[in-house]
Amino acid sequence: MTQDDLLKSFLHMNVQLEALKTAFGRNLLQAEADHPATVTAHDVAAAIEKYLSGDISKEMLLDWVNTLWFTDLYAYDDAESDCIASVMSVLETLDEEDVPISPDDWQKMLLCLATNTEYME
Amino acid sequence: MNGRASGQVNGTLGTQTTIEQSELKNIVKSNERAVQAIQSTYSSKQSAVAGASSYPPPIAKSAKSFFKGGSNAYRNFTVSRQSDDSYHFTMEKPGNVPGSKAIYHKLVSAGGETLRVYKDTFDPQGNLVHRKEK
Repeated sequence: MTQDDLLKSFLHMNVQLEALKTAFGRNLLQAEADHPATVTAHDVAAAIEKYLSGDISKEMLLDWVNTLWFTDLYAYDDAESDCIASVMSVLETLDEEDVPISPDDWQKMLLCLATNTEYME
Repeated sequence: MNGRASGQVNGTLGTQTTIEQSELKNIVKSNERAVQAIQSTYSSKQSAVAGASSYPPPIAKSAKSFFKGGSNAYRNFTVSRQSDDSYHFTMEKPGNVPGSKAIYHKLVSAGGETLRVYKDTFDPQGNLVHRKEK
């Protein structure tokens, strides 16, 4: 699998974080890609749908969010960057008990992603 | 020499910006050993991303990447150059509970290599509630 294919596979949640670490090194914060993969609003919506349907765990979604946000392996689509960042900012708190995400919040985030508008908490 | 050297003026669009980077660089050159950190503060994500361009290319790239990940609801975006020429970026996220907040941190080497990324969460009283390493 090429580097580009691996990044896309992780983006679409077809491989887990460990596969990236095997390819790019244990410390992904220092990893570099020849061509960072582009993250779209559709990708974020798809990830949320997988989580809400139970296809992926909370831990998997969190790994995904943190990797896309804090490493240089991925970059948000310029045209959708603000929308994506507003939703990822919420997803990053998924493991914080004092920041619950209600069913209504999830639907609002999905609507924002579908319309490329910023999600306001 | 006080190591903190930052000032704010109102820009034409009403956003606040720092004093000129060239002024800061002159201060650093003349007081190299005495300077502990030089900090620039930006009130908005947009101004922070734009301001990052004034730093050396690898630092600018890292700062832009970090700040772009933040929401437009964030505030107090900072870039601090440390005495060892490493850099420290921060951005603040208001909490859902009034007065609470989270601060995201990114530390990079002089060459732009990411050293550490973490998030500190504070309660309304300013107490550190937890720190999450990324």
